[in-house]
Amino acid sequence: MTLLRAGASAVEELLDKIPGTQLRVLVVWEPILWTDLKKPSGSILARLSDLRVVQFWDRNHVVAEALRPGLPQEGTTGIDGDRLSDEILWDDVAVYPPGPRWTDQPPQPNYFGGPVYDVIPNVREALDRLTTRGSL
Amino acid sequence: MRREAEPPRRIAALGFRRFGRSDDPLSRDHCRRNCECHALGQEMKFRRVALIVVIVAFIALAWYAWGPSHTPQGQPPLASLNNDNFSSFKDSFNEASDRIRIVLLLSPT
Repeated sequence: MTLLRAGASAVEELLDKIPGTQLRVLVVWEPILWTDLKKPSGSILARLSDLRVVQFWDRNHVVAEALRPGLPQEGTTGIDGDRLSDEILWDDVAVYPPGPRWTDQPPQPNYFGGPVYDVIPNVREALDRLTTRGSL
Repeated sequence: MRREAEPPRRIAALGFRRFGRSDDPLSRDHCRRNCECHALGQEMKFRRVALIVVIVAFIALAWYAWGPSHTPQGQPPLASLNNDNFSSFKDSFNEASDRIRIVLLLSPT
């Protein structure tokens, strides 16, 4: 529990460090434990207070299911294969470059991994690569 | 034979000290009643505390179950997704296609 909340807080800290970067963070809260009876309370949502954040409650893991087809197979650079074998994708983070749109299937992320708290440096690296490549 | 005058009796339940001979049947009876009253009082106190705990727990649970889920100021309200409105998530994703997008999958607890 602590780590999951720490994961959200760690992302908030990361966003604080890159205030000028144009990005959108889509946060999807999904029930995993029996204690997740309802949508997250205001105090939990407040852990991600950056204005670039949009938050969702996904009771039926619709997003986790929809994201899976867009994820490459194990062994691809920037993809943590262990995370893909999980029955439900959760405590994961995906970084998408500017440009590709979600049509029938989601685009392929530049980076995918988790647990969120542990992979913050990798997310930062992926963001740095994208920002130096483009003019963001 | 004239009986000697007994010292005054005082009832413990009323807050008086009790005086009297230890072999006095009245004394033992009063003591037993006092003990029973004390035990009954303790039980009622326990029940009252238990009732308060249950009520507080119920209120906490109700707050947890139906409490507000306000997003921080400046963010759009929390959107509940399902199969019917999933396109709203795709729209949010596509609307930001001019910038980097990060998708986080988290659990509230």
